[in-house]
Amino acid sequence: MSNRSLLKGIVVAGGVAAMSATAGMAQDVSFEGQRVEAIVPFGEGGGGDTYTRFIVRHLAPHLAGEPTIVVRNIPGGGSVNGANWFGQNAERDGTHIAVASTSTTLTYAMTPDDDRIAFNASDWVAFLASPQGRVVYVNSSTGITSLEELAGYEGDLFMGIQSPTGSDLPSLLSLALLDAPITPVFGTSGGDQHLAFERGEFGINADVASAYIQMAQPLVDRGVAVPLFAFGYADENGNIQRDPNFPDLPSFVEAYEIVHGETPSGPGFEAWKSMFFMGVMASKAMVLPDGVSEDVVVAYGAATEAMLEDPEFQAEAAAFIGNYPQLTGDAARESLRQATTISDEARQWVADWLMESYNIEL
Amino acid sequence: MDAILGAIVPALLELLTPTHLAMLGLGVVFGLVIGVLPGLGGIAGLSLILPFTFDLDPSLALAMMVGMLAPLHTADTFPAILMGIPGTSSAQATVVDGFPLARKGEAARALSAAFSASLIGGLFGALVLSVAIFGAQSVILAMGFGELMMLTVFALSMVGMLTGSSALKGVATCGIGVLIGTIGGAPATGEFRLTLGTVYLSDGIYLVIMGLGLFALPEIIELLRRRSTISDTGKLGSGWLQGLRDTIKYRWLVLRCSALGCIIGALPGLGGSVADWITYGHVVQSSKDKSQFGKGDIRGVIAPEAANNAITGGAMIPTLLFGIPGSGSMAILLGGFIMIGIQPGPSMVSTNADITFLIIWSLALANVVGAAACFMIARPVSHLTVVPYGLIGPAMIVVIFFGAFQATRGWADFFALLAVGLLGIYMKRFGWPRPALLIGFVLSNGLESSFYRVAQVYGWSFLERPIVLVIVALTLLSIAAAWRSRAKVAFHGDAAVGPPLHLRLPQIGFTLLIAAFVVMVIVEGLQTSYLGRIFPLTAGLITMGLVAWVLFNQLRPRMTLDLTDQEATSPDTVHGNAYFLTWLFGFLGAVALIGFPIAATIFIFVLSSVQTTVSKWISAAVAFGVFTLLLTLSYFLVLDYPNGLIEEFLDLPWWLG
Repeated sequence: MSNRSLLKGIVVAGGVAAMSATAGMAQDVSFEGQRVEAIVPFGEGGGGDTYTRFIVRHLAPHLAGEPTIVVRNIPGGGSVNGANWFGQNAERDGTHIAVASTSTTLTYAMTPDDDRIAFNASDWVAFLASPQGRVVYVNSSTGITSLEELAGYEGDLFMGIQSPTGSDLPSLLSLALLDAPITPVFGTSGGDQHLAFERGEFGINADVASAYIQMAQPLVDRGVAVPLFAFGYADENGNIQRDPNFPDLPSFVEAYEIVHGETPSGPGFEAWKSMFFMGVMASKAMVLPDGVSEDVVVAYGAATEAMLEDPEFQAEAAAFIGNYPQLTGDAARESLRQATTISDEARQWVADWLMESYNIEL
Repeated sequence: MDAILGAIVPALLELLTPTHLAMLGLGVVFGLVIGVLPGLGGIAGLSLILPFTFDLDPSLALAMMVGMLAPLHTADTFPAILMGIPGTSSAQATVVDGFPLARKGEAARALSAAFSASLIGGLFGALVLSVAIFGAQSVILAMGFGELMMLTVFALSMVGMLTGSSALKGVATCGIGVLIGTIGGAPATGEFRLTLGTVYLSDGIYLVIMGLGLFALPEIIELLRRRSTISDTGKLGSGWLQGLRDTIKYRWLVLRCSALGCIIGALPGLGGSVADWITYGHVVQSSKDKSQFGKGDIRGVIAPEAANNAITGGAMIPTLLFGIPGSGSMAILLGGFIMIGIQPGPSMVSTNADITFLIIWSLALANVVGAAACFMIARPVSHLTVVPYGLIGPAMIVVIFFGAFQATRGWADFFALLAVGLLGIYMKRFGWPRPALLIGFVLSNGLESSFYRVAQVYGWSFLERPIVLVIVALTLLSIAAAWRSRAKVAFHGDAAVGPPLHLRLPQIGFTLLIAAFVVMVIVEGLQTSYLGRIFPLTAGLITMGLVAWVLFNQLRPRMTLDLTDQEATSPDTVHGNAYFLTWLFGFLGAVALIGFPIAATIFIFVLSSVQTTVSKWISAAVAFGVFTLLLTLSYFLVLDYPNGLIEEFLDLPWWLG
């Protein structure tokens, strides 16, 4: 815990330093007449793309010199292709930014030995991190109404998972730690997961908050779905609290206590915490490449702060980023750092668990 | 319900205001341009106009977005029929009969039949959308994993109609398509199969590259070799009225195919790129005289064109009702909806019914405007078929390289296009049907993942579901029809003796190469986990058996339908394939030196100067035109073309490479 309080100190001090620096230095950098490219390592139309287009549209008018920011999609390899491009080719003068989302941080942290990876996400400088909660819910046809009933459920409980090593991994791990007897059906994309859940073929599903509100909340209102828990939200001390958007749902830590009667600990929970940062706290982040000058970081920091205060941004924000407090400055960097690091012991634990449970190699 | 129906007329009146019409018209113009350019489809089009829609009133933005989507599959017919290049992935089947019609000098007839069928398909799609959206929810929810898997199998059975003269080769080709489709991440385990350690192949080969490589590149090279015009007769033909009459004559076919397109579009899982092939299979199946299919049968144009415009209406249904996009372009449309503050869901048929009707009216109107515009520009555009091909071909090569580049926007796309193109050229030469390969490829992934899902969730009990049984029956009928209609050719006398062995060696070599690929899939499959290998291994062993059978037939001294070598029968060309392939490699070498736009310009000028006798100034003008087009697209699509080495010495602007 001493690490955490130290961390808090750094965050606060950094924040103050950044703010005082903002006033004096932001004038030094100007992007006037320049064209800034935002790299999206996915094709058009996905979550990462929509998020980036929303952010850059509101960010551009607040950046010194009001540059044009254009989105460049570089899809392929589950974001590895675009992230590699950004790692190798990005200009270090602030004219290249990128979005880092769960698939990027997860691939980077969980498979460090994959020689396809030629980028260093932990050195990227995040200037905005947008948390996005996750909610787990069951089909009311299963009869499950509580976490205890979930852990003691007898019968088939199918759950659609896109890829065992992709962005659904945090949900899969959470349910394993809660002893939920689920049978994952791999290779099922998000849209198919929802339809199959609504048809009753799948008994359980997990959603990021925005998708939950759009697609699962109507089912909950109709009595088709029952929410069980949300992952939660980390406070400044790194403690997991209830998700501010779902104050009635227990956090994962509470859920663990309900099921096991004790607070979670051990390498499994360490792995969960890393994935919590990958999947929730730094679900999406806007980043500058490593080695970018401090002036540029300050300019982007100031623009981001101004954007978050902009009433026009606030009016539209709910649909894109939910009502979560946005992390900026050092808090954003720290969040990305957490999302890109996992201890060797925890990683090994995940690898062993995947191999043992599903015969799948990480 | 009264309140909902009451929204129909006000929605139309709203659309008919000048500002709405202007936005719709703008969208249609965008859609026509995007549809004509290969490689660019709904996804690129929508992402181009999204930035403009932010500051618009939501209903104006809707009119523009839907206006862009509606005429895409009308406009993509131009390159499909005139050039043999599918303008979008949904126009692949149109190429099969549309391009031969243009070669026969009947481009005008084919275009007019295609546009009128497209128009009816589009209107039908809008009509179905307006009725079906109120009852579609329960239908979509009735289609479970078992039903969706059987639908995929049903689609696969259409291959029986796409086999060309040799049924054995057709089914073997389909198997190879399935195997090519297994390249990339395994759906059940995420393991990488046959990626050769590259990032590029981990997503598999992109559909746009398969379409351009298999169909466009071989046709372009063949035409360049002939040194003639696209139209063999050098004439356009005066078939405008004939085309319209064709559509009227086959009106029931048009309606059937529109309905099919609509249903396929609405069902999640199959995807629009299958609809044109399924309807193509259907028209061959339901026609008595099948002899002209693949050689220029107008019905082969009408069927897929009626279907691919109806898809858009069908695909809107799950997008609007569930917020679940059925295709890539619907995904980005959904993003657009959210950006302008529309939340899809059941409210679209209750409180937000006015928006739904605005979408439907926009779809209908945009189809009419789009088809009318295509009719108007069709006559001048189809003159391209009587221009010496040496002038057009080099520019078309650049255009399809540009199209392939849209897959991941990297060098690897060029190499993938060349590799698939090479496969296409030799498949064409040795009579392996390319449509069969494509349908296997398109369905491979869906088949594999739906197979796992059914096995896990249902086991054999999926056969107890009534809709599954109906689809099983349809599939059996489809296979029986294919069996009965297969060409019964017997060789007698001298014809019963095949060409001597040394003349067969090229095609035997190609079959051996295919066998080697299948062996590679099997060997690689053995190294993955159980769930990762069961599908490629099963498909691989079946395909191996079929390929071995083909090889056996080719080795025997007797003449069989499995023996085809176009080179042996039509050697009347100046240069061989290898000559033009050398040009392509040279082009890529030039790109590596001086970047894509400049290399493309020089390539067009030099190759068309060598290939034609027209004035150098005309070649230069064509080259400059393509150069301008490339730079314009680069600017608006934020494309960074591959840099050449020259970049190391000169600081060129980003849009120049």
